[in-house]
Amino acid sequence: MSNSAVLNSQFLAKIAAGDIKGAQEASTDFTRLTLREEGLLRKILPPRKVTWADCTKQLDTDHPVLVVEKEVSQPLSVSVPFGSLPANQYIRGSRYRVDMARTHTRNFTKDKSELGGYDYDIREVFKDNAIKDHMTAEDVPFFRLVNDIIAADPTKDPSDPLYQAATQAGVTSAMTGKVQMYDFTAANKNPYGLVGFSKESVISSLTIMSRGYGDPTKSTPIRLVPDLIVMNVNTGLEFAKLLPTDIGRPLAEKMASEGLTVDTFFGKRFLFTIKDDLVKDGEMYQFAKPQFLGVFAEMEEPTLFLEDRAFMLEYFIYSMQGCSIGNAFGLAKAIFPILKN
Amino acid sequence: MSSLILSVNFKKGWPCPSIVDRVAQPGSGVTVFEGAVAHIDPSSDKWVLGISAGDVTQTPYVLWNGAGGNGDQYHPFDPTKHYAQAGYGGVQGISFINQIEVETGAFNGTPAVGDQLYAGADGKLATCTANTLKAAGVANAVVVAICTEASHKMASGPTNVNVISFVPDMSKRIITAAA
Repeated sequence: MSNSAVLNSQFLAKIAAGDIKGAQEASTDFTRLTLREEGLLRKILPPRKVTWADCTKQLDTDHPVLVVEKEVSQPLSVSVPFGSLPANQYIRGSRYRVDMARTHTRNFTKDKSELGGYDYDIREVFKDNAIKDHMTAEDVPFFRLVNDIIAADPTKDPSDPLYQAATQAGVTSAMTGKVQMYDFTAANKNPYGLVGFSKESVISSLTIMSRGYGDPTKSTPIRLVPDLIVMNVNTGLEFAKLLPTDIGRPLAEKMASEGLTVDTFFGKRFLFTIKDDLVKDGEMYQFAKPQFLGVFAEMEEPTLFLEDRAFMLEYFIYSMQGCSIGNAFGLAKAIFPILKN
Repeated sequence: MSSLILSVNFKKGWPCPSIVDRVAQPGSGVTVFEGAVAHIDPSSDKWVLGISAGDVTQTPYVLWNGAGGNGDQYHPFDPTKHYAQAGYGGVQGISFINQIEVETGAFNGTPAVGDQLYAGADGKLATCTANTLKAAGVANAVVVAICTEASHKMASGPTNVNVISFVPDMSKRIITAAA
């Protein structure tokens, strides 16, 4: 009997012995661990655990809503002659809300007698089906939101060219008014006139977020730096094509022999995902540190509900979370021409 | 929405573990609300209000959780705001295929008990007789429900909401306007 079959038998034995709670807890721990390892949003914005005590009642809903304080902009200090008194500025803060919503997988059902016949770990079933579904449900709306924030016209469908209409300067976000995307597929779609994935274009893309924005005569321009950069592994492999003169001989040799084992380039942390349906070939997303970006609030951690009735087993994973980008300047995107399938 | 006023109530049939329901997003430019009758646009897989004669093959749903708009589970992206929420949640519709009886504030006119009801393009139910259709400028209409209780007050929050009760009618009969 394989190890997996033994594990399955033990898992089923727990259920047979009526230890539903034990089986539920073991699988819940496994679920949470996998989500932490593989969920993209959870790496970009580590979840903040909240309870009803952290939430604020609203007039428009009886759902849990977290209200988050936000840094405000304020007029600049001015240099004045002696004898001048400062102008008054009444203080008022800014806040944003994070509405909680439930996420759950389908309710998976199976006759236990059939489960015992599998040669692989029953928990792999959870991982392969339920957990991946759950991760996708968390990540997809987040990346859609990121693209909407960056988009020139978020009212258009993402497949519409006007959604991300690139100009010489890049794509100007309808939400912030700032250029938050450089497109390196054509020289006239980024301010550097660069085409392709190169040391120059990657480094140039790192300036999108740090480029000051706002009227410097009114308030301090908004300047942020990317803290985490996300691209898929297909795009990431382009780093291995860079020459020793671009990235140095030791790094070039390391990637030539070991592949994409490095996660820091040009002083920035990179996260390479295999989810090329979510982060498409050629796309690079840049995120500021979580405290400058937003909140991913988690009110119910992913939890496995398991029920055992006679010979039928059923389970589903549920959680409750909300995510808001409080500072839309804290993200940017670059597009590189990568050969697509 | 400015308050927690309830504008739809399931007198019978929901909640129920075997209920047939659907969660989807509103179609482009579609403003959903609780109690509205809608169907899924097969090309976009999103909610569209009402059931026209051209949609006769589609299943009607009454919109429920998440249909309240701002402050509810669904957050349409709004670039004019200074923050943005990820679009978790969605708008739940309870299928007319279920055995349900519903109180809804989404109606036009004065439906009487036993009236055949159609769902207009505004998502509201109205009496479906040839003469009233003609008067309302509706070409043809699909019967989707039967009125089981005429307009009455439903206590909800600080006010009473005018609602009618209905049960689904899936006969898909088409009533023509010209009679």
